[in-house]
This record gives sequence, structure tokens and C-alpha cells, in this order.
Amino acid sequence: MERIIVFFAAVAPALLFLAYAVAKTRSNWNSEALSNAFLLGAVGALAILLVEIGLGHLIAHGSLAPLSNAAATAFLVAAVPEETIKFVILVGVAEKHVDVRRGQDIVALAVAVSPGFATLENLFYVATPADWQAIAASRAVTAVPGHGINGLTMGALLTIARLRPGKARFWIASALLLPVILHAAYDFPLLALKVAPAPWVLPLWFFILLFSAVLALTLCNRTLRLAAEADRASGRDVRPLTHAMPLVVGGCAILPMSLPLGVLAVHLEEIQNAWWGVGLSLLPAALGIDLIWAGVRRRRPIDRGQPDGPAYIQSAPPQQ
Amino acid sequence: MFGSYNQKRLLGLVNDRDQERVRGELTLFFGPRADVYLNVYDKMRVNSAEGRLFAMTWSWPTFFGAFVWFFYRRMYGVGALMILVPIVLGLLFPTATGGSMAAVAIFAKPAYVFSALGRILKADALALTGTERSDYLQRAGGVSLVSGVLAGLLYVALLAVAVAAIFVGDRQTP
Repeated sequence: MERIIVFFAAVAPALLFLAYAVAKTRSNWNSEALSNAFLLGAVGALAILLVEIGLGHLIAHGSLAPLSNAAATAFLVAAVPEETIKFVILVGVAEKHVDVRRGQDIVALAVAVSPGFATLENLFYVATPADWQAIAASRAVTAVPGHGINGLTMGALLTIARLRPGKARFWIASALLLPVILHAAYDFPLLALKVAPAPWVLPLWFFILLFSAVLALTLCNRTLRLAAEADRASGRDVRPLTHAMPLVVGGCAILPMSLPLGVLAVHLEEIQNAWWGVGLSLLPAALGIDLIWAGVRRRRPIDRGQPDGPAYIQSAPPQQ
Repeated sequence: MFGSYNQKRLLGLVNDRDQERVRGELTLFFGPRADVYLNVYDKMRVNSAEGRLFAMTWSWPTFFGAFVWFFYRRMYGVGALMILVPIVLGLLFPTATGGSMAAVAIFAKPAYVFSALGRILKADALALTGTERSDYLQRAGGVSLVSGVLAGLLYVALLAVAVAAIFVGDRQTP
């Protein structure tokens, strides 16, 4: 029975993040492209594990100072391989699926690849140790949303590349580089904390969490608005703007859940000041607020009596 | 995974009077070595008279190469599940034993034909016609050499890890 609970503890956070992306991009759970992206993300986690073990040995045998070693591990062993494999899966396979017709789908797929990756990674971390409860709780509020935030950034930048073909190369390169930088910035303070515990490390990490969340969500919201307009104008997405309330309800559910989970994670690690856990809940709290905000914005045209969006959208001929 | 369809709609397609069109579209979807899968389709049609849409076949590439063939044939979801399910089961239930590859070898080709038929039904649902329809079916099917090679590399790496684990286990045994 405990094995089943371990499985759900490892898988549930990633599936929740996927639900967030599906709701936000108005995607479909039945989409084969989405399930493929999720499963391939998990395969990517397995494939890159072998590469990471090799790179880890190389860096461990080098003669770097502790902080430099932490930086090299964060950037070269974790961030570059993991974000590159996600990018390759997204651009090489997921985005080319024949069912991907809307611009908004790219964000959904990018986010599906990331939780897929995070799910298997989570299973590796959670399946064996005795203190799996603490690991599962802390990863549910930090690492899994962290992967998701990187996925949002990657998807948003790739969508811009598709919307602005003139500067496509720049945006495609950014879609790989920015998630790599965010990932390395997330990992570095945690690795530095192990080798050189300093008072500045933890506040820096909390700042990075907050900055990553704000950057990714702002970028994603602006891009999704542009993509939605383009999809509607081209007739690829002419569905009415309904279902605003589930977003608000979902966001309201995430907010009170995230805070106790963060505190619980710190408490289970037997760290005396459990209130540090408030900082851990930054990412899910940001996602909850964003979901509520998305629901409120989606509700506005419906309240104004325009459930199908502005007039030009209604006149667009449907393609399918 | 195999497209959105149900048994009744599939039987309707298999018993469609215009089999020349269906076979033509299946050929478009299958791409290289389409004749092999058209033979499987013909067997399925014969069995469909008895109300069951299945044919007993055997796939050597799947028997020896496991998930690699699925990646080559661009059935990414099934291929990924073939990799992940044993790993997840192994992590959660370390004492569980693995299943036989024979079952996968029997189901591989019919599953691929199901996938193709599902795509034709999806094209019908989207009301696609002419070149748009052909383009859709070609893009949905076919093969990917790059995916096949990458999956092959992963297969070899996983085999190497498994063999290494056996040797390490033997050395640690007193």
C-alpha cells in the first residue's frame, strides 16, 4: 500500500501542473500530442540520467574550488542537459505532431514535456529513501513547479518565434538559453548551500524562485494572449470563451494548499524554523494567483456579453 | 494513443464499400513497407466478418528491439510506455518480474494498423479533403529514422546498464 502512496506522491504534483497548463491554454486532455509530449518528457529524464552520471564524474574528478564546482554542476550537469533534452523533444517531436494546429498548443506541449520529465525524476528521488515523505513534499512545491516554470518560459518563447518569423532564430535560441539560465540559477544556491553554507544563499534562492515565477508567468500571459488572437483570426480556435470559473476555483484551491505543504516539507526535514517553508511555497502560490487572474480575465468578455470574444473573432471562418 | 475512435466506427471503415480509397489512404499513412501492414489490414478485414477486429501477427523487430520499432514508426506514446512501465513497476515493486516481449511482438502490427485507421477517422471528423487530407495522413504516419536511431541508442544504453548491474551484483555476492 505504501508503494502506491509513494507513486501518487511522485506523480500527483506533475499532473496538477499539467492540469494548470491545460486549463490555461484551453487545451484538450484527450489530445494525443499532449500525452505523447508528457510521456516523451519522462523518457527524456531517463535518457539524460545516463549523460548526467557521466558529466557528474568528470566534474567530480576536476580540481575546482567548492563554489566553482557547485556552479559547474548546476550549469553543465543539470541545467544544460535537462533543458536541452526537453527542447529537443519539444521542437523535434511534440511540436511536429499533426494535431498541433494552434499557437497556444506549443505552450501546453512545452509544459507537458516538463512535468513528464519531472514525474520520472520525482519517482527516482522518492521511490527508495526512508524519508520519502519529506522529499516528496519539498519537491512538490519546488522542483516540480520549477520544471514547469522552465517549460512555460520555453513554450512562450517558442510561440513568439512562430508568431514572429522575422526574428525566429533569436527567439528559438532564447527558448533554449533562458530556461537553461533559470534552471542553473535555481540549482546553484542549493548546491552552494551544501559546500559553503553562507547566510546569503537562502535569500538568494528565494529571490530566484520569485523572479523565475514572475518572469515566466508574465512572458507566458502576454504570449498566450497574442497566440489566442492569432489562432482566432486564422480560424484555428473559434471556441467560445467559457469555463472561467474552474480556473478561479483551481487557483483558490492551490493557494491554501501550497503554504502548509511548504511548511510541512521543512518540518519533516527536522529543520527547527518551519516557517522557512513559507518561502518554499512561492512557486505554487504564484501559479495559484496566476490561475485566479486568468479566470477573472477570461470572465470579463463573458460578463460583457461577448462569450465568443470580440466581433472580428466571431466573423472568422472556421477551418475545421 | 491510437487516435480517437471506437470499435463500431472502425468496423464501419473496415467494411466501407470504397476499399480502394481506404487502402490508398492506409498506404499514404504507412509509408515505407506499406504492403506488410496492408496484409495485416486484409487479415483484420477477414476476421471482422466474425465481429472481431484483430489479426494474429508477429514482429521480429519488436521482439528483439522492444520499443525501437515503435519510435521508428512514430508511435511515440506506445514506445514511451514500453520504456516507462517496466521502470516504474521496478521502482515501486522491486520484486516484480518482467513480462514477455512475445505479447508485444504479437500486438505491434495490429496496433499500428489501428493507429492508421484511427487517423483516417480523425481526418473524416475534421472534414479534410484533397491535398489537405493526404498531407494530414502523411504527416501523421510514415517513419522517422532519427527517432529510431535515438531510441536504438537508448535501448543499447539500457541493455548495457542492465548487464553492468548483473556483473556488479555477481561480484557483490559472497
